Amino acid sequence: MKMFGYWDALYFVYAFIIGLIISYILMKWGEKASMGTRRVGAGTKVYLSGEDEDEVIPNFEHIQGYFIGRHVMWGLIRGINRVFIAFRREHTGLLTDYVSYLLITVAIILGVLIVWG
Amino acid sequence: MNILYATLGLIALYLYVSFASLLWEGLDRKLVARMQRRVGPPLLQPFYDFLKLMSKESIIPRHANKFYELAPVLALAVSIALLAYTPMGFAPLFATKGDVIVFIYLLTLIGFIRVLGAISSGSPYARIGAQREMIILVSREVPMMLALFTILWRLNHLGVEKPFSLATFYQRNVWSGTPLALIGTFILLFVFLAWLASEIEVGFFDIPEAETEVAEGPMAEYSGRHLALFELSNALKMFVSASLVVAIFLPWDISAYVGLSGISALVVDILFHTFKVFVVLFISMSIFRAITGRLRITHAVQVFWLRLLSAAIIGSLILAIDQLGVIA
Repeated sequence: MKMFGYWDALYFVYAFIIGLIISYILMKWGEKASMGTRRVGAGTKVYLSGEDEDEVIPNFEHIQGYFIGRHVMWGLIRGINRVFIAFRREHTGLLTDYVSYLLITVAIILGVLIVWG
Repeated sequence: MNILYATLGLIALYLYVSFASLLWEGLDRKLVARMQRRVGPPLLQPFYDFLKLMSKESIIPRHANKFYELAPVLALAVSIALLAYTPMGFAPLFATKGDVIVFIYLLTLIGFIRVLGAISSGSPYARIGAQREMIILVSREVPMMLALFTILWRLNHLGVEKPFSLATFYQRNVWSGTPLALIGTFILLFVFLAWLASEIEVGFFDIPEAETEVAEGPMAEYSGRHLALFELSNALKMFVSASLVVAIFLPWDISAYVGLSGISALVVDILFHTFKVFVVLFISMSIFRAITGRLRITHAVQVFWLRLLSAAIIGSLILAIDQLGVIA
């Protein structure tokens, strides 16, 4: 048994367009009858967001405008990369190197476990 | 189907349901206020609210994108299109074979558009509300769909023309059958009432819009006519969701008893349907809202997946056992 008839999709589009027209008319009426729309200016700040237009953190003025999540992420990645570059430069191939890598890894894991509880 | 009559009917239905659903919101606020020994707002308060919101300045947040302004129009358009597929004491205006699927799809789409509009606003409050709305959305549909499809499957076995059509409920009464079937249907009625409460987000399920906590959630950034359109679309959705419950469980109409036909029968049927919708909403919205508080989102998910889904499974199994004659 077929679930839908041949023209039913078209009927749905028709009903949806009627709904779209009615709601568009309501919206236009509201635009005309209301006190208008405010898109710029002091009133358009996101509600209770802690949004700071100057983007200044006290005592961190030197990173003004550079404290968003993207910068933090790339900063972390770059820091890890620099650590590996430093390791590679100092690498000698002796057993003591590998022992120290193991100890550093264990220390980081223990640190993470302690911090996260 | 005469397309012109259907179009006029849809517009008339839109006007009527807007009026009736806003009137119910006023009634609901008054009734709950009386239950809590308050005086409550005037009966026509939702109308005043709507008109006032329409006349106020609409503030668009600086970081909002285009969809933010589009979402209220789309939500209202979907609600109006939904009216074409809603049983209103008679078969839906655009009744087809598979309109149950279209109905559920459109009902879910409204919530989805709300979520998209909230995310587009760029507010953290709206984002938290949108996340909660999404979680509730995927949890509440499963028990309801199971219950609905079980009922349709049973009606199909009893013999109807179009098993996946909303008009089916007016051809066959779900309450007919053995006492075992009655018990199963009653359990499914309970599932549907809980689903209705979560669909209109009251009482336990007022989580996405928790006013004291996330400041209206998805609606946090909306103001003026954008908020008004969302409020109207929510009111329509409330009436339509209750109409589904009424059509399934209380499908009786009185025009046949009074002996009316034609337009007067339609008017009497839709008035009686509105009365039944108000009764269902009184149970599932007013009383529920007055006697319960908000759950945490994890608890709400547990209620849906552990309690309501198992209730729906038990109800479906009882109906299946009865229908297939396992214990004859």
